[in-house]
Amino acid sequence: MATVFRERVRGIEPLASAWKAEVLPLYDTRKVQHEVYRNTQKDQAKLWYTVVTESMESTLARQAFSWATAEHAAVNDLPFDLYCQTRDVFQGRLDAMSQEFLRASRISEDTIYMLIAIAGEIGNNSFDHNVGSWKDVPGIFFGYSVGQIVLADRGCGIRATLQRVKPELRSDEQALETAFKEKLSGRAPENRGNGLKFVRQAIQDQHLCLQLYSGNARAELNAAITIQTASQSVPGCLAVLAFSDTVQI
Amino acid sequence: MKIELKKFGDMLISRPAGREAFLALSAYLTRDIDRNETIEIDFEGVKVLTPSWADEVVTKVAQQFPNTKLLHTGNASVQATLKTLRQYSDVKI
Repeated sequence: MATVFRERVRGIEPLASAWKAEVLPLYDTRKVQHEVYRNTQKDQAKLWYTVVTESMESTLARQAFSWATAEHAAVNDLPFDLYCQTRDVFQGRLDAMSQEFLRASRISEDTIYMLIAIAGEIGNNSFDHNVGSWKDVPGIFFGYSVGQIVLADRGCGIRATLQRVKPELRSDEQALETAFKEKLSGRAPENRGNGLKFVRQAIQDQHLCLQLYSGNARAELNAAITIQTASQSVPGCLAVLAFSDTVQI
Repeated sequence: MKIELKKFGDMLISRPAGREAFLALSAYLTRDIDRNETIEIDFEGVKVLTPSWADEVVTKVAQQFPNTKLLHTGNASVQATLKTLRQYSDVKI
């Protein structure tokens, strides 16, 4: 009989489509059997529930996917510890994450600081390119657990951002290719556009794995970079950063 | 003169924070400094540095003062960021 994990989760319940999504294929979670038990108290039904899975790593990314892809969302859909409405809140949560990792981790300080730098670049990109034009909810989803950091936004996505300065982009795959490989900023004439190039190099140097979804495209970065069509569309961005799960939080 | 980045914090991440740091150091530290003077940017005590923050400070200081030197750059994120700036922001330090 397979081992099952009961995980108490705060926040939105992942949609049925989220469980089918190819988020975190590292853990092959598409095959996970799951059940969701909601709290019986009506007023808490949306805040707490228990997920039963055969894998511990699945829920956070699926919560982010559900939030990022929902037709409508409101500011209070996410619990405060998964939601950063402003950059200042995000910076505070990055500080808290670094403290938690340093206290409980068996990975090196250097790796922890690189994880902060990578998450910082990805999260701040969401603010840089969507401030004032979020679809509905301002800010980002930011969560972390054993071996993973998950970020998402309900912004306009990488293709729409880059098309302002490179109108010839024809697909989301082309947009991700450009974002990771070309020196080009969606906020030209400001001289920017090096953040995701840094992310790509850091992932390679630190032997990490990043999956980034935007529009109909999905980029998987580790020693190499693979960009392909995703089976589910994410209008804004969703990033799942996976690292050696020797961190005990 | 020496610019100690740890005085701006030990996690130097966002571009707006970098822009604010550059404005502050332009007003209080480098305003009356001759263009040819040697400027030392000291990374001691910095734990996390990103290209976004550094592009607003290191790149601009290096453009303004050709004799810019970098000190204590051993931290992994400092090294990775400087590598990115040299490659994509044309920083020649």
